[in-house]
Amino acid sequence: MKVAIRTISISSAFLWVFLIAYAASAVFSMKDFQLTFGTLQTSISAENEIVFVLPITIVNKGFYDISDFNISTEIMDEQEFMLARGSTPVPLIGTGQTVNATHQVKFKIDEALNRSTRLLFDDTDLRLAQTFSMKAAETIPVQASSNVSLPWGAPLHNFTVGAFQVSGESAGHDGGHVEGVVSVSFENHAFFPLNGTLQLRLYNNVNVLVGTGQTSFDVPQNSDYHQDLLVDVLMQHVTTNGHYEVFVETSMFNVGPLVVPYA
Amino acid sequence: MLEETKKDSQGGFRKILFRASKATIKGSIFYGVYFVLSQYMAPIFTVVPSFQQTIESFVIAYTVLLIAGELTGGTVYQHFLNVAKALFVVGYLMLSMKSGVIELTLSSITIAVDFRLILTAAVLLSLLGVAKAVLQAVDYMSSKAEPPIF
Repeated sequence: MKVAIRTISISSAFLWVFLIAYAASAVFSMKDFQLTFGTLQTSISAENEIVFVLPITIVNKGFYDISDFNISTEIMDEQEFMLARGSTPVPLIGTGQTVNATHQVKFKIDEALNRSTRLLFDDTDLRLAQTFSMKAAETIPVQASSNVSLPWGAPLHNFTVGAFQVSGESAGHDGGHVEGVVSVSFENHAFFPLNGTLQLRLYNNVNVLVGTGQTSFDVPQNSDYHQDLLVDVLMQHVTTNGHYEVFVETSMFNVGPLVVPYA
Repeated sequence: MLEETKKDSQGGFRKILFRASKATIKGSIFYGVYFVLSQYMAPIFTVVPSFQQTIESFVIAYTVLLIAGELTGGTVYQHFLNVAKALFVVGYLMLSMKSGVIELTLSSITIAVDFRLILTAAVLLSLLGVAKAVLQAVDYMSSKAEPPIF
């Protein structure tokens, strides 16, 4: 029994020393791990996606290799609705090695605005959740996460469609068809210019299409837009209340119908 | 008769002195190992002060059990204390590290380090310590029950 006890003593002492030394050196070598970020760049891809590009430099001067390094970014709106996601894996960073990587997140504006229409009209803060994960010494998983607010400017902020007004000189022409104007205004708070067309359909209180109008626009970022849109309507079907259907088609996104009631 | 009693008490005193010296040496070595490792872990202690407190309280409790075990050497109490020491390590690892994932928050960044693999290895080694202490207790009791033939 004494031999068995001695064997257990020696082997357990050896294993304890190894385990403590390994764990301590693995944690200690983490201080020689450096992660540096370059300047965040934004560009617009051929598919009209906004691409956030973040250059990263990873330096591992520790005692052990770092495996399964991954940086992921999620962009969410105020209601935690996922708008974009991107991840950049680096399988292995050897000891003494420097790795340069580029982290990309593609933000499909068209998809995001059609899913979360609040982003179209309201300035808000987007939540940018970043997570870095890796395996220190190839055995100890380490994860760091941070949340950053990203201000979002609405492309159609303060979007207003005024009441339909008949133009005086055109009234009664063309077998009941008259020309009128509807004032449309909004402020482009987005970080990109808006250019495209705006189509408006006028419905009466029994959902009968009574008139349409269309205009093109070109609104630089942080600019106001105001225009009286010419609308050709069938006067006999016009009622005092009803609704408009607005379609906005731009190079960045297409939305519609946006239903706006009038009275 | 009086001389024999005097010799016995002198021998007992020597034994206690020897045990006390052994306990002091073992305690000092254990503290020395902790001191050296704590120098390496100083950057972590500055970031997570609670981690240092946790380790310190462990070192204190373990050293007390270590010294008490050495002072009671050659008696059955030593084996009780050895089992208690081994069980303390298992319990301490399980309780202090909770799920084995340590989380700390630095301003807006949350860092989580998963020590589950290391913790599992440490708990298994501690169980080996419990087994060793139990075997030592069994050996001690059997040696008391059966006097050696030769």
